[in-house]
Amino acid sequence: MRGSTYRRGVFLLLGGVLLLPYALLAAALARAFAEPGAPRPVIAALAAVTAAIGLVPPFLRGTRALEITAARWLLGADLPDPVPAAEGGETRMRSALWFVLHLAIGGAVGLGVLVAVPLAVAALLQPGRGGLGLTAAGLAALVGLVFAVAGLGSLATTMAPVLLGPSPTARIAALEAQAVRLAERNRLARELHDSVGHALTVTTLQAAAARGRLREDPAFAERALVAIEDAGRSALADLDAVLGVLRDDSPAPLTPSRSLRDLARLVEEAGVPVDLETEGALDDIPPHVSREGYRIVQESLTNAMRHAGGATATVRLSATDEALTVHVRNVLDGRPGSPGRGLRGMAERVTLLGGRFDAGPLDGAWLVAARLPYGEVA
Amino acid sequence: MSGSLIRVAVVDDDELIRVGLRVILEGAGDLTVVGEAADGAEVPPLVARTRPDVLLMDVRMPGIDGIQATRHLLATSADPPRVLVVTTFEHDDYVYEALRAGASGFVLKRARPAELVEAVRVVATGESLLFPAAIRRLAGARADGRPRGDRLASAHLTDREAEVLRRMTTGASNAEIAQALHLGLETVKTHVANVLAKLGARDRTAAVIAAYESGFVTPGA
Repeated sequence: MRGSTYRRGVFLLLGGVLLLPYALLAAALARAFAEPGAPRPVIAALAAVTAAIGLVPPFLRGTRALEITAARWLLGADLPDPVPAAEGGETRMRSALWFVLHLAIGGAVGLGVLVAVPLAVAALLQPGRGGLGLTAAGLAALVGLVFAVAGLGSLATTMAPVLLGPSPTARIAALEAQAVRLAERNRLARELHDSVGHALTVTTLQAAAARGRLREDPAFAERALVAIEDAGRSALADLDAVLGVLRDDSPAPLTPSRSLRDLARLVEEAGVPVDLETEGALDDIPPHVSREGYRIVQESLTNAMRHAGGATATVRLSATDEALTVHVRNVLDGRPGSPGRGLRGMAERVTLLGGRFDAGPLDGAWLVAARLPYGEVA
Repeated sequence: MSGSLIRVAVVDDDELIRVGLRVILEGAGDLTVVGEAADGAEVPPLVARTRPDVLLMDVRMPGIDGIQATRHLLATSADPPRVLVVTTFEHDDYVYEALRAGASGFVLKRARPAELVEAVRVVATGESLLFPAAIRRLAGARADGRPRGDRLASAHLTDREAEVLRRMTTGASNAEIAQALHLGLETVKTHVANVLAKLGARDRTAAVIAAYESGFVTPGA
């Protein structure tokens, strides 16, 4: 039994546990109602009030949040955080339906466990007692239960985004909020670029000027050094402050970004055999190109591991005077899959750097080809 | 020799940049910095007072920016100095705007001292184009595939003049053009002067930008 099936089973049983108070209450009321001489109108009124109260939890925001958390952890459903402000009546109806289904199915599964497990235990401990038929029934019940749980769990995983996911309105609002956030971060990044660029320009110019006057005018050289020191210090403070804001949700890497200098390690850790061929002085290309080249090889090898089923991947890197070209080729095992976010991200970054990016199937293999120009340094 | 000194004025809002540029330019020996300003609004009095040959102009300044200051200066002054834009970033959108406004070239503030000095000399003589590759790139980044206006068609360049303009866009100097086309230097100078006159261009840079913008040459090529 796979771990995911087990966790889905736990999720279903959770519904059964939640159903328990409802079931007990209903049973108690039913028993009281059935008793001879019971004050039936009073009990009926009580039942109505209880039912009304019982109808509240499915519509609560907290219940929805709880179900989302449970579905994420136990079903592995890809659900965004609930946004209470964006939850309309439609969202609540969907999540109430989910809650009710969860309880109903959970109750059924719980009942199944209560029946099938003792049957199976009895069948295993005393095989043959009560006839072979009963043993077979016990084992069949257990197997059937496992399949039922797997099926229902898989159904729940499919349905979770439909019933617990955000409504189209909420989704649009979330996207808009994200767009605003990205635009803000972009603006901050641009300002940082300007301010640090200016500080480095001051540093460069003052250093160049001081170098030319070092002997004739040591006092000027000293003033220049003070200016350089100040510019450096304030640029660092700026970097510190703005980068603190920019990387709010992703933890800062403890290791420096990897570049093609780390290629040997990447190939070693790739998880697929790699046939590597390099040409030119890879160590001398500009750092930003080297980092991007590394990332392309890394992502391509990760994809190769996923789709090529252990076949050797071919990596060709060539550094000329103007550009780095990257070719990664791996045999496909028949399912090319849809181009994922990784490929789009690669294409976008390469385009930003003024390069060309192509990826696609060719002669039964998947080919990634990128050309990254160094950019002119005036 | 003082007669052949190139007179330079520096306009930048950061004093540290002005001082750095001044010290570097004066270190060259054949350049003299005759004045400074911190804002585009100070440019007209500065130019009137100091009569520079070349004005080093920052693009982004509080108040009147470098583009407006350039446009205003070239429109109002009878014998304006050449404007050399100094910029922190080559990919600054405003650099190309400044060139369109009539600046003769641009140079990065981070350039080596010798390159800075050479840029001032090139702009002062006007005999060749400064950083032709960078100008082509900037024009290419702006090109939307549509030629703007028919300035070149209506200019009626002769075949020879068109060839000279084509070579100017590559950054060739008069001497290089003369050699390539097997012409005398004076003949080339005449052709260049004719091209500039027919295009209504102030200098080579303006002519080259007109060539790109009219689609006469394609920046992507």
